[in-house]
Amino acid sequence: MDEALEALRALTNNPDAVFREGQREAIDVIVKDKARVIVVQRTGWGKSALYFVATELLRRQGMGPSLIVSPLLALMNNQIDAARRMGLRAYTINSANDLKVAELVSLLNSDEVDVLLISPERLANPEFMNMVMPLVGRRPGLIVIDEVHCISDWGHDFRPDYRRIGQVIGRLPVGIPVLGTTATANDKVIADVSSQLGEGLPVFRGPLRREGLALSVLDLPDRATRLVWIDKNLEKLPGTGIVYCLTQRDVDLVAAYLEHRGHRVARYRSGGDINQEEKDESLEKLLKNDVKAVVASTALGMGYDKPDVGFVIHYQSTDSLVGYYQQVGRAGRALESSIGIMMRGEEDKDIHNYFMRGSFPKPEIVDQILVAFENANGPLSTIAIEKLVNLRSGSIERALKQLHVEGIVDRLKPKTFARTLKKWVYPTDRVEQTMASKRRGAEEVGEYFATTECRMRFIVNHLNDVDLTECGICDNCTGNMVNAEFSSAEVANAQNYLRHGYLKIEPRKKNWDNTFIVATQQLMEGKSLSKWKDGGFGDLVVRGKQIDHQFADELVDAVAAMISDWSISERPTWITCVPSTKSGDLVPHFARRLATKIGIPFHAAVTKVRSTAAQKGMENSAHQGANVSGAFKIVGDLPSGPVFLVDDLVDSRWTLTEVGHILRQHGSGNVYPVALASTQSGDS
Amino acid sequence: MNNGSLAVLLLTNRLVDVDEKPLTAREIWSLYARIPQIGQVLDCTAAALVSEHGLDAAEVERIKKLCDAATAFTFELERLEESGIRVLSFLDDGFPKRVTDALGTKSSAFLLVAGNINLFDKPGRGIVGSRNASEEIVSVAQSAANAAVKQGGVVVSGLAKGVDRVAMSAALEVDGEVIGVPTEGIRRIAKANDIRNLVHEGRICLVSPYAPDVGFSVGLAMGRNRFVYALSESTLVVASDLEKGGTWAGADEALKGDFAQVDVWTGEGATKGNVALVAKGARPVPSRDEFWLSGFIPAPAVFDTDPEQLKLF
Repeated sequence: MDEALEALRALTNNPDAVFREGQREAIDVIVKDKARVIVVQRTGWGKSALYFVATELLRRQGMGPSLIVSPLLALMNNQIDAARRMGLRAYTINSANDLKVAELVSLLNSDEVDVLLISPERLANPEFMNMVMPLVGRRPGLIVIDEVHCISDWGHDFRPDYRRIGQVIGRLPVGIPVLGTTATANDKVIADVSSQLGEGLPVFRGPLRREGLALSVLDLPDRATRLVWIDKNLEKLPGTGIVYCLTQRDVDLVAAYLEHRGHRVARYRSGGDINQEEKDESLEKLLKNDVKAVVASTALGMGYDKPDVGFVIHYQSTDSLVGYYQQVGRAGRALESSIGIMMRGEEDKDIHNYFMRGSFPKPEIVDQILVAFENANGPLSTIAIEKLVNLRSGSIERALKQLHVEGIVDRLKPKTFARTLKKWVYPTDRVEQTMASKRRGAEEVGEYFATTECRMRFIVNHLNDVDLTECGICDNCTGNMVNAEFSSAEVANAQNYLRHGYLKIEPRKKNWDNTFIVATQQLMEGKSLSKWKDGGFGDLVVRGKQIDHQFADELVDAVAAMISDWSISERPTWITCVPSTKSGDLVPHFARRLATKIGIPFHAAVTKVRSTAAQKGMENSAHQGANVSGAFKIVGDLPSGPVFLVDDLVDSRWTLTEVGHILRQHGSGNVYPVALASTQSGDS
Repeated sequence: MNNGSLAVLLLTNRLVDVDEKPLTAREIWSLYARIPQIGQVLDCTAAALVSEHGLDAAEVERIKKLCDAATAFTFELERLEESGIRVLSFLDDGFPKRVTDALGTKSSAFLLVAGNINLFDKPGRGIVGSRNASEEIVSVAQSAANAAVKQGGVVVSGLAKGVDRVAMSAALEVDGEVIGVPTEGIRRIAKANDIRNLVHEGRICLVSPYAPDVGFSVGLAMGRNRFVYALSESTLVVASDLEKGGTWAGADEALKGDFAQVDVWTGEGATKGNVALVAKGARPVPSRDEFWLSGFIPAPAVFDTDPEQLKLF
């Protein structure tokens, strides 16, 4: 028996283990030739066995630790566990674990690290690059680039921070083995990847089709209808699974609706308003089949490795076919049969366009930030930048992230940046190329919906697989289309639910200049009836503001209902509103009608002392706060009781905060903000 | 980058800490003389380097150890380049050939460069002098910089306070360009927005034989002088102390090493040091008219019909 097989059996603790097709050949290239190789295999094929066996053999030869670069943070702990079970000393360093750089340095110094797993972002971290990388890279060792398609701008999820890795590998001398792995790559991507990593390197490809996965599509333009479909069919689906949504808001909506309808679901998405514990818990629950489904955004990304996912439902269509393959490919890895259904909604296109536009900061945003650096004789913090430029803090952060990736700024501390010596040129060609590639991706999904041929064959053909046999189990092969019949009453119920998605208005605790607001002058927690353009009341608010110049009676009734459902320990005794010069009587008129409806008096207690610029033109806290600071005053005497403070839209909350502040200063009771719609960003 | 260049950079590595002392300039030039295809230190086994190239075993062990850090080094190289700092070995195309022509084996085998490297194609006019210059001397430096720019040249400056900065500002004021050889690391000096913005605008090119973040020291300041001379067709010493100070040491070294032409101001306000430098072989420049007449930086446009003359640059 040879050394490689012996290592595999020892590492897997299975005396009968054998290599899968292609694994052995790839190991030989790495271990014997110290050369470079790309392995294209579907997930679950056994990539980690490949690089762990290779690591074991290379370490026996006295080579340095293996460096594994992987974008799959969720997967890292699994991999670490797997490596350690195999007796390898594996470590990772990321924001979520407690391994300190100093500990890692000491382990590396005593050569006690066999495998180091990192995310690509780590390669831009100064501490890692200055302290750890010199030790990891001081002698040749295997470099693994997981999800290697990410280095190609042709790849559907090209990651700019991966590009650097491709460039480094391209420059390395011979004798440093490199393994690139991916489960999703077509010929164009593979050609691009291999030209970056070194011409003529061998590519091992395995079959990409997933046996037993029955694919189908479902065109249901209306959000409510799709909710009804999932509600009615979820429990009929085999085992447990994933429901994918495009936006964070849709994840929340679908999860809340399904929970409301009595299903056991959890949610998984990115965003500042969901904590790591909830995310970990969601994955854990799915892993243990404690929930029927996890409702997830694409943040439940590559490589989530659960062998028995019974179904993957897409509440909205993906923006590329490769992306779809990757997500639906999570189903049924170790199951005889599983189900993949992609739905398509009327909103999908807008959402895709929104993400596409946001995928690269606009030149005018970048230019403003760079001017701030030009004028600064040293590094700038994000807070300092907010004061200097009138841009959303989110836009500033996104632009800085991109500029960091492009090498235009250095990140000195998490929120402090210095301008580098690199000249800035807007990458027009690259942006346009990326846009074109994304548009093409969306078209391919359209073709997938339209096709009458076998859907699995359609996908693997797109991935340039050679095996084009029909699956025999998809909707087109069987002729059984997904059943989508429901009563109008069922749809009406869901629509009604959509319309009652009240949103919290959290009180601000700090002033725009970062000083604390005295507790007695803060707002109480408030409520917003809807989200701007949410398909429910949010659309009526748009109509009232932009077309009718008056809010419909339906909105008065809805806000009154919201207030009557509201469990506040005290009942406000009067109503006032935010005055505005721009919208004339729109808001006061609404507030008066609301007051009549709920039977408490309205007082026009607040007036403007100076005209302010439209708050929507103020893009970040520093500018918004300064714009409205001192802009209002109280007229006459205030009633003393608690009060509802009404405004039509809530976004930054600075206007409400400022008005609430002076109401309290002049002796009102607690101030409860009420808004018709929230335009707070976060996602579309 | 070719393998040879990577080998040179790895062997003289000052960017990443390795458990082995990098080769000194003298050592790398000696190795290069023995193995002109220096990329072979990466491609050949240790045994082959001994048997085929006649290196001794201890030397080979050191070389291999330095080359082993290729992964760490390449990541750092990439990181620097991504942020606008190129690390060039003398084997790279962008490396200013003037430097090795002038300094030979006294040159560093690599340079860090940021900014407009096209400035290397223009005739360079070094302008050096002490930090505490008289008003008269400041004015001489300004005239010299002005004349150099107007004649199609680029001013080469050490970017220190005093004469260096005066010459830089004077060149920029008349829309000229500057090659700067700072006394500190290239990234360190660019923390200040004046220098950084000029790099972005392509009006200054920074050149340094040092790691990007090192701070000022007298030793480094002395060590960088030769690069000012080497990057220039001619260098004008406007004011030097006598037998002491950086200006004197730099000029003395340049004259002894015959790096390139050294001019020295002997007109009004000339110091004793200046006079002494004439005795050491510097060409005296007694009047400002000479900045225009002596022809050390002839404007290329004037000679565009005579290809033989153009070869001078």
